[in-house]
Amino acid sequence: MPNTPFAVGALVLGLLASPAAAQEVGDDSPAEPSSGEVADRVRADVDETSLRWLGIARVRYSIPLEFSAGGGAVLARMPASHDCSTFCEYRGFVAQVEPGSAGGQLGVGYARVIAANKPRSAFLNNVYVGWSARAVLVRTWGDSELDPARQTLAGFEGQFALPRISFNLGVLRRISSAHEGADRYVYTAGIGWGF
Amino acid sequence: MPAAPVTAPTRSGLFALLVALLLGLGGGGAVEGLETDQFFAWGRHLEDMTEVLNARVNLELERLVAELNRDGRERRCQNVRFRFFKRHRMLFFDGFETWSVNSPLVSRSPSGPEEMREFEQKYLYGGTSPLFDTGRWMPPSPTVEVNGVRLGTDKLTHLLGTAWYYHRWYHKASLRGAKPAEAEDRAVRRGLQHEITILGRAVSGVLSLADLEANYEGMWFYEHLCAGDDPNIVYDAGVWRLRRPFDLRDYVTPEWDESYQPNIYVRRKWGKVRQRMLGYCPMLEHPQVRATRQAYRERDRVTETEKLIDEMVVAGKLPDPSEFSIERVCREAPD
Repeated sequence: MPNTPFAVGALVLGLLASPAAAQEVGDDSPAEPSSGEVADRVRADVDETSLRWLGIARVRYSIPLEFSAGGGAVLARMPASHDCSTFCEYRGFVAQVEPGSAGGQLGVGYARVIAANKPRSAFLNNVYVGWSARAVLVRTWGDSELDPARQTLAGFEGQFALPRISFNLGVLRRISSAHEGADRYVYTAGIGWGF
Repeated sequence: MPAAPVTAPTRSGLFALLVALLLGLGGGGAVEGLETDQFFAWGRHLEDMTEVLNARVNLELERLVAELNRDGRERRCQNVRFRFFKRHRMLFFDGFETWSVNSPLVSRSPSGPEEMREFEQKYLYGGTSPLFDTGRWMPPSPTVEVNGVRLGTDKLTHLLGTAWYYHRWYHKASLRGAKPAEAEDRAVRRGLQHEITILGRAVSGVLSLADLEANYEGMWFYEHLCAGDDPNIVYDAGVWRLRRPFDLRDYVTPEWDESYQPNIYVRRKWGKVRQRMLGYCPMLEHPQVRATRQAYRERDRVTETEKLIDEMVVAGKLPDPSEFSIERVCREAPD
């Protein structure tokens, strides 16, 4: 769930006195604050931040996982008063676990994403644009096309997401033992939906 | 030597199919410049946000000045302009717009869950499928009021974000020896081509003249940020300082209101938009709407963008924007 630190309490109380949402014509409006007051409020609104974590999910087809579904979280520092129901920019740590038909992946890294979450939702429901750079650990299984089919790899993955689509590219290095002549490096690529 | 794993032909085919399918459904939608709907704000009270939005931009200017002073040396003005642009630029979006759609200090419409639900029903561009209409793949920008003009928050992205590119084109043309008027003309025409193609009409089916107006004004904001007779920021006696605070009133005109300055729509889009606009005909008699539009008419002038659009209309390259005005729609509406 989004976190709200004590530090913003005073700000929130102050903001309660200020008109924000659109109202029907005819409502009484309070006296306008001075320019200095406005500047102070704006500064406080920008500078008072809190750490929030939000869930992320994606489905994709990729080499070497084949069909997979991932779930994880983004941890980002945000202006504390922003509900992000229209859109926000999230910049911060990302972690994701992703089991697939031919392997599973654990990834951690840095993400920058413009997205929205529904009120009181802990998930990024709409990802508009974003990218991430992750260090990944991959274990293949089942009918993986790698040789050998079961191996453990580590490497890096870059992801770029647009509305309705997400791409990723990366490179992995085998860290488990294998027979002589087996490929040591694997290039990865994938396409899917989500982040 | 790195090597890719061998992939069976069937799996390659499946992968290619997925790529094609997802590209068809998605790729082209990621363009900057969001759609906005000022009709929805008709009859709804909005506080004037001039002071608040000015304060937000001036905060960033003050921080830019502090950053420049930390560096402690004179810099070329173009470098200062770019540093300001970079400070608030996000991925395709602009920091000022992102702040204005979230901050509780900003009075906007729609705002709050109830009004958001109502907006989803009445959104001017809501008559299309969100799956296939690329214009709906990005979030709509709410309406705010600045100096008596109602505008989408996307105009902040145009004024302070997209306009950076306008200014760069202007600056390059100037460096190549073009006179100011000629450089301005080149930048504005190039901007119009972008709006017609990758940023607007070709992708979303909407050519927003209001966006063009904001881009044009933003070009002058960047030009005068640290140069000319009346710059915002100066380097004086070894110190950078904010000489003249930013003021949106210097830039915003009634043409930024898309319910007043009509957009140009492609045929496939116009039929659906027109149906939604018809619903607003009775609102033309609403006191707030009448007063606002009367005030607009008194402030209205022929802008450089309007001159260019007129030229395109006369040359047959664009339809007349007045065909898409609410007055025209209501006049031609069946009784």
